[in-house]
Amino acid sequence: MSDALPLLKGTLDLLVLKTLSWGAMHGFGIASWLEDRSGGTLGVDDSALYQALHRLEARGLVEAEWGVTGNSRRARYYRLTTVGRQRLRAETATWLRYTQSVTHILSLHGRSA
Amino acid sequence: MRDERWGFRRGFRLPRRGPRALADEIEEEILTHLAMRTERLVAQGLSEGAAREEALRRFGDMDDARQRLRATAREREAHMRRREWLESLRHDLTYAARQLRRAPGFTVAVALTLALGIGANAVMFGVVDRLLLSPPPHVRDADQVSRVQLSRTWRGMGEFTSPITGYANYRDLAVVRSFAGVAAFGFPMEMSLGRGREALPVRVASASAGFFPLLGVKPRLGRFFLAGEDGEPQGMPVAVVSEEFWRRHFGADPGALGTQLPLGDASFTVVGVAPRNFTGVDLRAVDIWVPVTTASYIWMQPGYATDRGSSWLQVVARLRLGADPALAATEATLAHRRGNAAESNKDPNARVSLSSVIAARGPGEHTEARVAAWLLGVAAIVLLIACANVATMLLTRALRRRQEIAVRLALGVSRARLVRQLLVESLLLATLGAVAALVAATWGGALVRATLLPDVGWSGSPVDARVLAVTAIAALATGLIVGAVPALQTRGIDLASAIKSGARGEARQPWRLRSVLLTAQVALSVALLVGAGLFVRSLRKAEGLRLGFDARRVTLAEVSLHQAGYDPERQDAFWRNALERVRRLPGVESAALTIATPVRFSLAGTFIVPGLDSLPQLTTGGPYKNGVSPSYFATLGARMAHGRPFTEADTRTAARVVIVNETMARLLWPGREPLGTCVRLARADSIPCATVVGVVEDVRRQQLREEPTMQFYVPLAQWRGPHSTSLLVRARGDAGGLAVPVRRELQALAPDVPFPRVTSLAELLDPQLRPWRLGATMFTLFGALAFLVAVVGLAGLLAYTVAQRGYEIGVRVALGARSPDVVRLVLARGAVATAAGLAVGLAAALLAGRLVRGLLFDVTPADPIVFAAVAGVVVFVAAVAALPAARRAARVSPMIALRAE
Repeated sequence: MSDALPLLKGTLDLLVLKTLSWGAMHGFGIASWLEDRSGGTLGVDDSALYQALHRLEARGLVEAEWGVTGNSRRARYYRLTTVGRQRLRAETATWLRYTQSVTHILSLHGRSA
Repeated sequence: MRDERWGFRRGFRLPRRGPRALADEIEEEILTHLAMRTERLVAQGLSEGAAREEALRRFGDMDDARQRLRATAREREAHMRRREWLESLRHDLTYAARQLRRAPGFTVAVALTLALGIGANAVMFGVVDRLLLSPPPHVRDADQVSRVQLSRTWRGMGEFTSPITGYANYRDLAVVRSFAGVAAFGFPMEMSLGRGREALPVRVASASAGFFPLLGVKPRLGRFFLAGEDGEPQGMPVAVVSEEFWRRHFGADPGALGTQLPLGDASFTVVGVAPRNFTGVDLRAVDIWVPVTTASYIWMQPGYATDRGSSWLQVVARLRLGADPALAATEATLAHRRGNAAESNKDPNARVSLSSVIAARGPGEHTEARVAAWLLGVAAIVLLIACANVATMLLTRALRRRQEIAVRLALGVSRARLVRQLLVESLLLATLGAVAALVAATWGGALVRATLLPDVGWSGSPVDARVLAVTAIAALATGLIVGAVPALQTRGIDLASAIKSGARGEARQPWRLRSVLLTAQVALSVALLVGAGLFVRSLRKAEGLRLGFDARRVTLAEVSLHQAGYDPERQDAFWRNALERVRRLPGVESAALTIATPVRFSLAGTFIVPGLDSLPQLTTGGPYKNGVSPSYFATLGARMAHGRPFTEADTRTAARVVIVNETMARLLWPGREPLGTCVRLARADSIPCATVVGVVEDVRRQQLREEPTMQFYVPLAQWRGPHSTSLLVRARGDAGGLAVPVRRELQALAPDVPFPRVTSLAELLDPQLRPWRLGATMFTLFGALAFLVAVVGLAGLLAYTVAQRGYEIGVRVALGARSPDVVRLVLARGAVATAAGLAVGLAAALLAGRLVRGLLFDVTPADPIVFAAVAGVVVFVAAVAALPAARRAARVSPMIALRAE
């Protein structure tokens, strides 16, 4: 975990939205989904994930409802709203543009390297 | 996968969660998360304890997370609550709109009634705002600017306060240290711009160089006066024109700067254009501003700067920031006394005071403003009546909808929500009314401005931001008041019986409320009608006063020949020709020349009766002298009490003669015959005495209502004094049509004639009648409309009674009741309400009347004729309004009524 890169600001929100684009999930589900796909840990506390979820909910990007898990446990399920889906699309495009240009710059062969 | 469950709470509007529940939810979510994480870690091979530890560690700072999550949750809940509220409001609005669309007749009636009430308020507020509430347009920090007025004590007559003073007194105030600035301005004078047929009438006012910067006005174009242009003694002939004049005369051409404006005998260079609607601090519009020193030098007298006897200017001052107004007044008083220390007739108690710069709050007669303020109150009453009427209509409607409401209550709609729905409906109606009211106010306001208060320089549309705000507030209040009545009624609904009995069954209480509302409407409109009657009677009395002239038939023509540089011989020749030509005009009965003119201009003169040491002192001053041509009294329509009028034989060389008025004859020759007495009209002994040959009735000098005035007349041929001749023309009928032909005749006499001002004496008196005309017109209009609304309410109430009690009436008829009994039964309620309203209204009018006493003209506030007339009209109209209902009640057939059940 110590070797994990710290998440860039705003990136967590984007990852959460992306995760929820597959369907409704509870907080732990999102956390483990992200951990599985990032090959380890997210690099943030779990509490940060919940703060992100609640923040997104307050902004109307996701909505939440209590549901029942496979183990008959009560859990709060989150899913994307229409606005959230639009936001995800826009942010993804921005993100890809941004990383492309950063990648491009980083892969230049510097003279003094 | 779980889609059908989402939005469930929103759909059924489950109650929102409080902060406690939110905290619990967050706690549960965290615990669930920790449990699941632990489970996963155990499955990965950790021991139970280590897994729990790791889960906690991974979660991070628990307390901090809790705090943050709770804050976010609260924010989210508030946001959702707002959104839900808006959504339900939208829902209520569509519901209300649908309800109103379904009953277009009802909607239109309510909206129009409210439009009447709200519109009346918008119009009157617009008027009162300009007269009494708003500072003059373009004046910056108006609360720091004051009018300066001077109070002087006159022997035996007490203290008189006047804003009008002279140049020397104005200059004295320059040293007052609490003033950031002092400026003077003159009253607008009606002058002729140019000569001959192209000449135009313009209103010219003077202003000192400091006037515009003191008020904080910025020129629309060019500049205002430089200090050097307003220097003593004669300033410079420069002019600033109003924006309106600039548009009218120069077509808004920027090239107007630098052009010449010929005024009187001088020519003025235009140096600037004032901003739109700028009227200084007074209400009357001004076309052209010129420097005070220039105007005083040319049009007053060259020695104006040291003349402490004449008054022709007003003064405004701006207080230094933070200066105490009381201290400023004291300093100004000291400065004034110092300046006057060397004067022979100085007043040691003279006092300077400061007053508001808001036009009608200043000193002087502003009866119109007071009447307008009253009319704003009247408009508020009209709105109340409209509210009462609309409340009745909504109540009736709510009763008809009892079944619907009961069903909705039974279905679990909360009363609060139902009440809100009713309020939304009434607010929607009020909004419709307000929109219609604004349209009406735009037209009505313009009409009131143009016809009833034409002298005020109105700025902008009758509906401005302030009127809009007041209208919005009035509409909101109206909607709430009107909606509250049916909303309160929902309390009394007994669900079971309401659903069963439908629309017909009715509690007693709503009926009583309707009667009370009707009584209130009648009472208020009766009070308004009494007010209307009092003002109409005042106007009649004022118009019917014997003035010593027939105002409607006599036209006055003035031409400023002196200002135009005519010498006395040329002036005399001009007027002799004018008299000849005008006499030959068709429709002219007679014409005469005169020096002084009724209403406009009078001159004090010397009058010495042998054997009498001094003349009695009258509050009106005088005696006033005049030089008139032979047909003067016949032209005015003034009656000779005895003796003879002047004739063509009273020439310059003939024996000197004089005619006195009745007041003079009564005071100077009590019980004796004045005819034949030879009086002296000058102090010099060299001038022969003049024989009194006639006594004529008093002719009003200035005011409609005037204390007796001493006046005497000499033949124009024997006149010694200023040459400022005017022409009077008596029409065979109404003077109205003579203005244009008379002006044309005068302009044809010479190519360089200044613009002849031709007005009937009625027009000259009109401003004095205006307060009563304003009161009579608006009171009558508002009173009649209010009464109409009340009468419609009465008819509605009776019709409703017949409809509601059809069954009962049918039973009674079946049991042998005769038509008169039935009719009496139905009308009783309406009659009681009307009679009670009439009584309350008359009593209220009697009480309120005392407050308007000062605004009436020779009419007591308890005028029996007015009260009797109003009572008669109300009883008669109410009886007529009750007829249809009575007829319908008499026709109720027992069979129809019984079959209905």
